[in-house]
Amino acid sequence: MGFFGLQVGFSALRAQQYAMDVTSHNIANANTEGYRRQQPVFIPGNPLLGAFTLNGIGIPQLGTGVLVQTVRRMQSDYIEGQIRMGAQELGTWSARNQALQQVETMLSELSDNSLSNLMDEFWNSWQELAASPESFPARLAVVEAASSLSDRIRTLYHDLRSLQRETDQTIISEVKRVNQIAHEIASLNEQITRSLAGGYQPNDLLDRRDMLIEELSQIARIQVHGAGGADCIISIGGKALVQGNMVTELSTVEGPNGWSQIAWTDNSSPATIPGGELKGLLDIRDTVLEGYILKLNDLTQTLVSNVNAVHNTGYDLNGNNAGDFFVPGSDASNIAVDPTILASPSLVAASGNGAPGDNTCARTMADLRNVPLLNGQTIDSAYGTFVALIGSDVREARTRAAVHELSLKQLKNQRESISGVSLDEEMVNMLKFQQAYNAAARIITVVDEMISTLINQTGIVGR
Amino acid sequence: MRVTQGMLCGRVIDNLMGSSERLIEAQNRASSGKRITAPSDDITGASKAIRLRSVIANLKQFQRNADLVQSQLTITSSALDSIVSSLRTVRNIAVSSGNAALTEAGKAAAVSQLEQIANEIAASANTQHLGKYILGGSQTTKQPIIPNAGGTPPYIYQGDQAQITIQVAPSTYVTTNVTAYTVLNMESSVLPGVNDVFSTIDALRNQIEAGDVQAISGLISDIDALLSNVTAIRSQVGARLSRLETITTTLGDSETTFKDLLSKTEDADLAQAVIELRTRENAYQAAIATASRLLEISLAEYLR
Repeated sequence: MGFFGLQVGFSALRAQQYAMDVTSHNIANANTEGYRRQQPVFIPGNPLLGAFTLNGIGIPQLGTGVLVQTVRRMQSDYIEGQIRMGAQELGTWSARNQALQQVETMLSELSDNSLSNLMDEFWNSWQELAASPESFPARLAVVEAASSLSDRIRTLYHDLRSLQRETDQTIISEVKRVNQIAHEIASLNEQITRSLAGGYQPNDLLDRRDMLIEELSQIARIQVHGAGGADCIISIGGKALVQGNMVTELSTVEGPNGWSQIAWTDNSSPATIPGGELKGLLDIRDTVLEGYILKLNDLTQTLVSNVNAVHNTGYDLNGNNAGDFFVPGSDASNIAVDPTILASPSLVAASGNGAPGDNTCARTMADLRNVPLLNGQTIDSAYGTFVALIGSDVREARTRAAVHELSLKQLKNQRESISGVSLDEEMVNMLKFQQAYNAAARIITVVDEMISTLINQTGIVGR
Repeated sequence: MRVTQGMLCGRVIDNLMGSSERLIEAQNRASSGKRITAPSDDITGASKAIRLRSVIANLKQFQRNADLVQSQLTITSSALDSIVSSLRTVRNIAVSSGNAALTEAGKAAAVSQLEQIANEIAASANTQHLGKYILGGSQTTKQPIIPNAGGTPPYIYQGDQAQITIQVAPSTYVTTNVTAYTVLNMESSVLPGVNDVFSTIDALRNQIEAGDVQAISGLISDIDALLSNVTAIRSQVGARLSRLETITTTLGDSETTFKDLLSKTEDADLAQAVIELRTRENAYQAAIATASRLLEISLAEYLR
């Protein structure tokens, strides 16, 4: 033994100190998002073989102390993959949910200002006119009700369109964010490659990259290959976005309908986004909102053409043949009461034959609400179906978003269980390393005393 | 399972968020009294509520229509009443003028009374309701009966024979008017061979002036026929009024039924809502209490 004991003691001191550093790094990052707890891995030092003999019998091995082999980063690749899948599903549905919730607010059905209420008022105003066909105030009421109805329809249309535009803007900024994240990942990849080449385990860089990848997977469904630096490939829809330290950017180009389309910058080919928030936004803009607008237009055009057809058969208060009631050919974007009628409500037709007391035209008009004009449905019930459709879309999105949020939360909990920092555990470790350090220091003291005995207390007989 | 501080805190936050969200929901239900506030809360319920609201609004409109018809028919009925009583007076004059001993002064009085009665009948026929002439068919903006400036017949009808109908219940229409044309037998339209009311009165006046007792008693049967025509129309109007009353009652009943149904569809059960609110309040308090207990425990407390 001799001086070698000091060396062993020193290795222990160094290792426990290192472990204490890791512990304090863990505690420091206990609340850092995306941080994976680290654990020092100790191995015994390489033993000395047959260095000593005692009475001719070899002492086979002597330990040389402890080595810190590596610092392990505690995480499960399987759960990481699951979390990425969950994040992109949640991204899709929560984007949908947010937009649809706004649509439901725009409708404000079940309130007094709802479209169905205004529709009722419109039909009722014709009933009222049928009861007093020669009345000017009743005509004013009809014009008033029709104006409120068309205002409401136009507002709804423009609200839907502006939500579509807003969604389009969000798509543009999300694509920018994707590029930004891709560049950050690429530069981390470069650092990771360098660090690995130098023989260092780049735990904290890997944490940062995993966090970015998770954020990216919420925006778009991605495939991740390779855990290292240079071999890390992240692809969207089968095409690599990041490859090592190279990035192929996405861009938005204006499509034929005025909306931004997502394309790859290198060859301008359109990019397929199979999932994630971007997919949700694209669906909302191109399918859901567009579908609602089409339905609203259908409804409005049917209303306008049928009301006009009935109105054309009638006679106004002056006994003249009546013209159009709504601006002919208008749809949800521009429905309005005909300006001539707006200017003089006496042009509203109630009479079917020119006699001021006749009410056949107004009666037929009021009866339109019971006529199946739209695929076997009355205008009222077609609108009811439209509201129910939106309601069920909102409900589906809300439920799906909630389900994915819950499962993502559970997955993150599992990850936290593996990768999270437990302060209790770290404190126990702290005590453990402290005590081992103290014991190693004591060894050094003892060895020192032994050497001192050898040097100072031996060979001094007769002094 | 390894439990970390992050998991503990996360769970505490989730639980607090969850209970406060449920608390707010219960609070909304209890304070608004509504179970459904947006279509997505309950799609079938919301569609039903929208449908019911529209049915109720429709019923209210029918009620307004029925009220209007009712007041118009009531006014029509009283106009008919006064025409009936005028015709009775005409008949009395005819009867009392039927003897030869009538003095010249008596004749003059009867003649001027008849002239006045003709005016009264014309005025009754020109009765207005809310600014429109109700006995002129669909010609509601001009007087149905106007004097014929010395011609024969003495008054003419310038309305038409239109029957105006209004919807007062789903698929129920009522006729809102009778025309002076039929009431006064204008152009002998109802009683062939009998002159219209005004010509008959005119004839009576001429015969009284001429003192033709025979002709006067001949006119009495014409007056009787005219009188029974008006009475018949009046009882028709009465029948319509009582039918309207039944319809109004039914409308009111249906409205109550549908309102009840609407309330069952979209309103929250208040007792249940309040109990729910109480329960969720307790749950929230429990969540807060547990959180405070859980978060203050740490090994550091026990290490020197």
